[in-house]
Amino acid sequence: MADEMDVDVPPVDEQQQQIQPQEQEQPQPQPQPQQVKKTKSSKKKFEVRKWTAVAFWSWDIKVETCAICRNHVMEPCIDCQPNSLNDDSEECIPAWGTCNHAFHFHCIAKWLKTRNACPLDNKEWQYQKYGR
Amino acid sequence: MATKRLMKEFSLVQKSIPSDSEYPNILTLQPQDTLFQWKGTISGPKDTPFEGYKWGLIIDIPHTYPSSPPSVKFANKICHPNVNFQTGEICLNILNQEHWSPAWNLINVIVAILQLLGNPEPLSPLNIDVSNLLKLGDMSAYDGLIKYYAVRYGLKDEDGILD
Repeated sequence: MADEMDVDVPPVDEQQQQIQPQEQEQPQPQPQPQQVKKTKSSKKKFEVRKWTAVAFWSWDIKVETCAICRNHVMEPCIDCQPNSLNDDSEECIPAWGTCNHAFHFHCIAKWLKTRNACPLDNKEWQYQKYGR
Repeated sequence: MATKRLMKEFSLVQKSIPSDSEYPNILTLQPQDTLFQWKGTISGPKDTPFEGYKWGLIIDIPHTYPSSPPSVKFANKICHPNVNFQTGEICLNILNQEHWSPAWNLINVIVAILQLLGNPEPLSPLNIDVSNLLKLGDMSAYDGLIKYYAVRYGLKDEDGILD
């Protein structure tokens, strides 16, 4: 991995070693003169052999932590957490209200038995969607 | 649910009380024999007649927490329009089931009580006498009565903190 990424800005020595076998069919060991020659002949100094892209992501939702149990909504709720190695965790899904606030379905369902209001904005709760 | 969430709150409290400058008036907050019984110590907020004195809080947490609110009362006597002078009971809407939200935690509750000290609500009194002084706008009598009882019943430094 490290070698491949070095292709972008390789140190001079390494660059030469990598490129040499493909581009030039010259007898092997004469490092310095060879490089000078290449530069003059305006040949490609190096070519990209492999490109490894890296990207970061995060969930595009307003609330990331379930305000009821304080676990991340995309992870199992605090009650399901110890079982997260079991298949049970598949059942622990997030749920959104029409107010766009997200909680674990387990957590919000428990709270709604007490009062049918969003814990965060106190508006009447209506489910908008479930699942990841 | 209740135990696990209280464990999370305990670790949050350990991190932020008393070191966090966001909560200068929360001196201590600690669970007792179980996570369902806590005690706290607060100091009177700046620019209120309570400034310079300390009170203890007794917090009982139901097993249905956080679906139900904790119950909080003062441990020592305090003279405040919305606190029962004899029992320490506090009249604060978020401590009632119909206004409570499970999104709040124990620190939020104590911050709300500290707010109540500086912002009394004379229309829902638990202490009629001091509430009437507030309604009449007799602030020097109001402040004086509060300070009289603060001197008498406030926690002294030599009492240490509640634990």
